[in-house]
Amino acid sequence: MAPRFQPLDPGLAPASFAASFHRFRRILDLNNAVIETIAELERALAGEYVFDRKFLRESVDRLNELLREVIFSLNALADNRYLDLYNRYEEIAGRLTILAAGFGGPYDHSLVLPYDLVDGDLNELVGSKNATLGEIRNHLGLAAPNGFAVTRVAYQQFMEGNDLFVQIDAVLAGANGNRERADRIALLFDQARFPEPLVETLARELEALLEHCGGPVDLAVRSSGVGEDDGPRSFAGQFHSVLGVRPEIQAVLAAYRQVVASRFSAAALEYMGKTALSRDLPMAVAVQEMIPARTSGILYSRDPERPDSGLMLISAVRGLAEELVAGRVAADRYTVNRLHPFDLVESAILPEPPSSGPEQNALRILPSGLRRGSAMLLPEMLKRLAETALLLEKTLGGPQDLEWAIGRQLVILQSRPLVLPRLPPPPPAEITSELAAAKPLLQGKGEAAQLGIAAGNVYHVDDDTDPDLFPVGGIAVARFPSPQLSPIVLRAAAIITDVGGPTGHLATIAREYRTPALFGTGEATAVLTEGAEVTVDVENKRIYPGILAGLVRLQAAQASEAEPYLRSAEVQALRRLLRWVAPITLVDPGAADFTPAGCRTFHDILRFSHEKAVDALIHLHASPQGSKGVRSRPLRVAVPIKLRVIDLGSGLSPAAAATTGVVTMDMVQSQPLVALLAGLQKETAWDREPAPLDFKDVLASMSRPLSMLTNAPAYVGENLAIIAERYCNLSLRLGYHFNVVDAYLSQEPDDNYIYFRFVGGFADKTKRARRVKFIAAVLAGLSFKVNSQGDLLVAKAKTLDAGRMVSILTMLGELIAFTRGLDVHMRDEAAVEHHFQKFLHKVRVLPVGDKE
Amino acid sequence: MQSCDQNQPCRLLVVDDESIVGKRLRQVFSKMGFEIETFVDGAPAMAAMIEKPFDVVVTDLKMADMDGMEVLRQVRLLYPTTRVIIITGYADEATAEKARQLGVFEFLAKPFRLDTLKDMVFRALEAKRQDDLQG
Repeated sequence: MAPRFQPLDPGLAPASFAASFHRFRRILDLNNAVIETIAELERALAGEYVFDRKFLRESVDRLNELLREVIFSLNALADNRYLDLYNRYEEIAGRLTILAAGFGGPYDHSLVLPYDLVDGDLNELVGSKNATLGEIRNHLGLAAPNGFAVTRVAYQQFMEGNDLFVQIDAVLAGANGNRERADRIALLFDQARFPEPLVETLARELEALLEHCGGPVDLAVRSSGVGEDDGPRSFAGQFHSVLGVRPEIQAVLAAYRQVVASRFSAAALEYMGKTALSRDLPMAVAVQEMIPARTSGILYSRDPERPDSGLMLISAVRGLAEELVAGRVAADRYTVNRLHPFDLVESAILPEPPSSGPEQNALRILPSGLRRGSAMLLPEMLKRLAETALLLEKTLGGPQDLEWAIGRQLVILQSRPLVLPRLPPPPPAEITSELAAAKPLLQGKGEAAQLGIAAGNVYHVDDDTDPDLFPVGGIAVARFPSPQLSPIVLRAAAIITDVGGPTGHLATIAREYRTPALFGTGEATAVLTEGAEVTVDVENKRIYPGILAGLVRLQAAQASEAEPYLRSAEVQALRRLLRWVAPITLVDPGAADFTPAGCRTFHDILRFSHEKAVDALIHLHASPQGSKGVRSRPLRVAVPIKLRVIDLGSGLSPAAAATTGVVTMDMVQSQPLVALLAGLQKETAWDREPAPLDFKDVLASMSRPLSMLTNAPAYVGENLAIIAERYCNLSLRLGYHFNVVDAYLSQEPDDNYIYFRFVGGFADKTKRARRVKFIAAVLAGLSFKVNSQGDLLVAKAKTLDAGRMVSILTMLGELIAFTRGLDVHMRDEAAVEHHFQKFLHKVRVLPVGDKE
Repeated sequence: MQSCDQNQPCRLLVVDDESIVGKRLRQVFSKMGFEIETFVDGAPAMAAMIEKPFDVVVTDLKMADMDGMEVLRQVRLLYPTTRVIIITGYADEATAEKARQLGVFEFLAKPFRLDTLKDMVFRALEAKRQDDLQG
């Protein structure tokens, strides 16, 4: 990494400033290198690169090195105030190293894991049922029971601690018939003892679960075999579940014993066949709260007998569905269209059961106040179930067989792959001719953010679209990949945007929800018309008109082969490690958890460090040792402001170095200071003709809630500009208010930022607050993120190209001059609006609405 | 876009001992109407080649049994119009020179962009078609 700034001239700059500035610049460089590496990993996951295991190891090594140096540099800059960052760093770096080396991760030796920590990546440890429920709860935001997984490690300890594998092998080899085998194995399980560490861990976790549930609740203990739901066979119903388990450790242990023993029941032995080994299908177990269900049932997201019919099947019973699952009771049956709006195609409603108790009778009055006919599910709930099924089908990668319950809300009890007759993929020749006949609407444009193929109707969306109104299964088309679209990405079959790339926030969301996503096509909103049927192939960056059945079938066939690429160890490792690297969870610098301990990912550490580095630099000269002994020189400006400058390097021209005393404007080389002063000195700007502009966005910003902010600044110095060629820190007292502008301006948009802080004033508190409100409104229209509280305002703008930096800095200079003494005029709220308009009309404003 | 006859899918052979490469390329090229076969060893790949020739071969350079140079040599010997793209971790000038003498179409360094490979494959198909027309 070559330094992007000139070496400092020790004759001009004081050592402490120079060194600090150097460190700050180093942090910016490191910041970029980290972002680039993250972007590379994200592009690899998005499918743009073909990569291998070596690439993962090298990327993780690089990230670990870079982050360590970021933390080192920040602490050097900020008097070791953030040494705690090393703790978080070590933890995350350790996880990454393990993941990249191909090991499972930090929980590999855990006996139990609460559902809050479980997701689909832990399949091998907690079994499919637990892993899927964790994914549903923790990543998809759907309701699922509270609970914890008893892992395969616990199972192995239990089995090996009692020498059960060896003894079972002996029984399997010796006894005659599965019935006799099962009976003898059951005896072995009856005699088995629980290892003490397992009992202790389970008891602790049980206590935590009950606390989480707000008191004792009955439990369900179910099997969650590792590999139970993979492959062509489904073990549905083969293993025992124990319901209504008392919330006590002995009861849970007894249920656990029954569940793991059912792995060797006569039926299971029969089902698994003679070739199965005793160690096959390790039994992880689920311990869950029982959901008090009013109605419950099963849903097949496709009709198993007619998978291509475009229908899904739902069955429902009163109370718990266990009997239904076991096939022992009849149920209401509904056939629903798979496409929005999920119309009911057919229903078979059972007559009222003669044995209805008083409780069920009471439920026959619907929330709508109507007495129920006989159907258990209203169209609204059928639609909700259908939507949920499609979401799960998309995110879990194939048709689902799901078990649900409705108590206070819809809860997913279980979801597993629906085993369908395997369809052969369409022959290449069929695809070739299908594609030859189709003329893509869009081709070769954009970047893949998440791979996949989807077909459906186009819906144009933006930040104002109500996600609940977006039809599940539709193709979302947007101008910008705005984070506000996240809930829509969950519902959409695919998302396509004009602007953006595979490394933004929404791209991460698309990968999380496995929504095929093609970003930055430049023209999707223009080319794809509302309501049109299209087929999207993200891999090949093509969007075809109509539904290409062959392509859709090819995708389905590949998915039914368990998607060999997406399921490969390398892709899974990359997904897992990115979860510790890419997301930013620390968003608000004013929040209480904006601390080293609050950093959950590498990106958090980076974000935190950057914020604190800017902070340290801005306040450097305010510290006691700050401006002491510094060689500052007066700068002559065209307005009555007394201003001194300190040059950190190349901020002044060589001509200035040759002289002493007053510096003139023509000697200033610092680009951000030149831009700022251009605005600040522009007295005439206030007499300009009104410009015809669209102020919609600027005005809209006034209605946004302004969040709280941190302490007031501790500055006590005079007007001072600390400058370098591309840097400027200006502290300016005008009238009775105080401004700080800190800006970096280079050709690298990612490095560029403007920080603006404004506080104080002469008039009363209310009037000062009104002035801040006015400033906030203007700044929000100039790409700033604004926080204000009372008469204090902090605004930041980032990632701007050099041209925009110059114009915004100039505007900021104009604004600073304009607001001087303005608070006195802020008699009422209308004055805010009045001056806002006055400013907009009198002073040049940049085109707004460009969110890039 | 691709230069195959519309009812005659192009045939692509992928040989790489890291199976993820084959998995990924299968995912992509099958959706463009290619007939694609993938192998982690050179020998069975050559057997498949002899059974039914491919238009383009993408092979890793370093592999345990038969390396990419050998795949290249055999393919060019048996089917002079088939184009061979070699994936390699680093550029070793001696190897590159030898591969050029053997008639390699292009080199590609891992990790590579899919778009780069797609572009190479299409150019390779075009080159082969020119040969076949003149042939």
